[in-house]
Amino acid sequence: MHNDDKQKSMKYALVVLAAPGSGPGNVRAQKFARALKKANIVLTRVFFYGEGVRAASAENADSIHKWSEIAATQDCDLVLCSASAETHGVLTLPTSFTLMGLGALMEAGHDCDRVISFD
Amino acid sequence: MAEFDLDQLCDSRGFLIDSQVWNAEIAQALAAEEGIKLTPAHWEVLDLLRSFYLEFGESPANRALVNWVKRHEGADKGNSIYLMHLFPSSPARIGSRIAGLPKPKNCL
Amino acid sequence: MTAIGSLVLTDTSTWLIRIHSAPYVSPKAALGIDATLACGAFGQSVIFVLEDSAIDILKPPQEPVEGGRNLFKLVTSLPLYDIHKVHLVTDNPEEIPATHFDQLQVNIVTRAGLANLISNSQHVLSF
Repeated sequence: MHNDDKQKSMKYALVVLAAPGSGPGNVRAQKFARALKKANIVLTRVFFYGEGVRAASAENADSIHKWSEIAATQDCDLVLCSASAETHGVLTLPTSFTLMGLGALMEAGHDCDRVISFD
Repeated sequence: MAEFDLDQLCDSRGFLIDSQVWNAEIAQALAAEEGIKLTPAHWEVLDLLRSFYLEFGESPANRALVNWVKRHEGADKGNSIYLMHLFPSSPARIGSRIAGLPKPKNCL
Repeated sequence: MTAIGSLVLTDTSTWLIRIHSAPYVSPKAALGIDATLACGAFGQSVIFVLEDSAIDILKPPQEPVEGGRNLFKLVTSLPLYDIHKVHLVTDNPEEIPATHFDQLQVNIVTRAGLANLISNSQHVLSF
């Protein structure tokens, strides 16, 4: 933890469990991600888990676009849980997303100050 | 000659599709693919992997396998050095594969 | 230090995992258990919390489970992942199943107690 080191920004990672279109979770996560930038908080990784992986499925062009923009402006990884992607049939990935196991979530927790989830 | 075709029995990751068809010959064939010759020490761990699966419904991660072996056989065998020696690189993944179980969820 | 595959986590974070979704009606509770097992597998410190209808996870399922995932059995495996406590948050403590778990301590916390646990955790995931 680097909370007492004012030179370093806080780092966050997010877990997105909500699919776009099934409740507000996915959009809330995007708004929160953008708000982190305004607060000078570094966003290191967004981990899409369970139905959340639909954020990257072809029929959700708006979600893909918005997340890709966040990744480009905030320099964060967009990671889909590989098991969830398989379950939900998200087989072709937009270029800004990658597939990894739950280890990627553990790694995110290790590399940042806070991980919080959106369901 | 073996009377089975491993390719037909396994999924795309090399794990048995149906753990019920598992037998000693299949275990030996899977072990051979991993470059492992099964000894009584291996069989002891394979039996424990099968009992873990029966008890909890899924294959263990390495940590759980170490603790399970420790619970049943003591700390001399329930440690990662011993298990890594028998099933190099990932005892839970390689061991589960040879024991005819599905791929453990939490490995990379 | 915990090494699994190529990933080495050099220190431990505290993860609070709270499951409030009822088991077997949606995949959420199972996702929460998977995340919990992953934390344990990677040597992280875990505060495992079941709230309200998620407490039903502590009852063995009456019928074979769709897709074969028995969350009750998975919870009984938590001690092997070095997780030895389950925290329960409920307004109806009389509905808590009287199951005894080997090496897994069941602890009832108030909502205020939960707030305390959350403020002492680095990472918080809700399912």
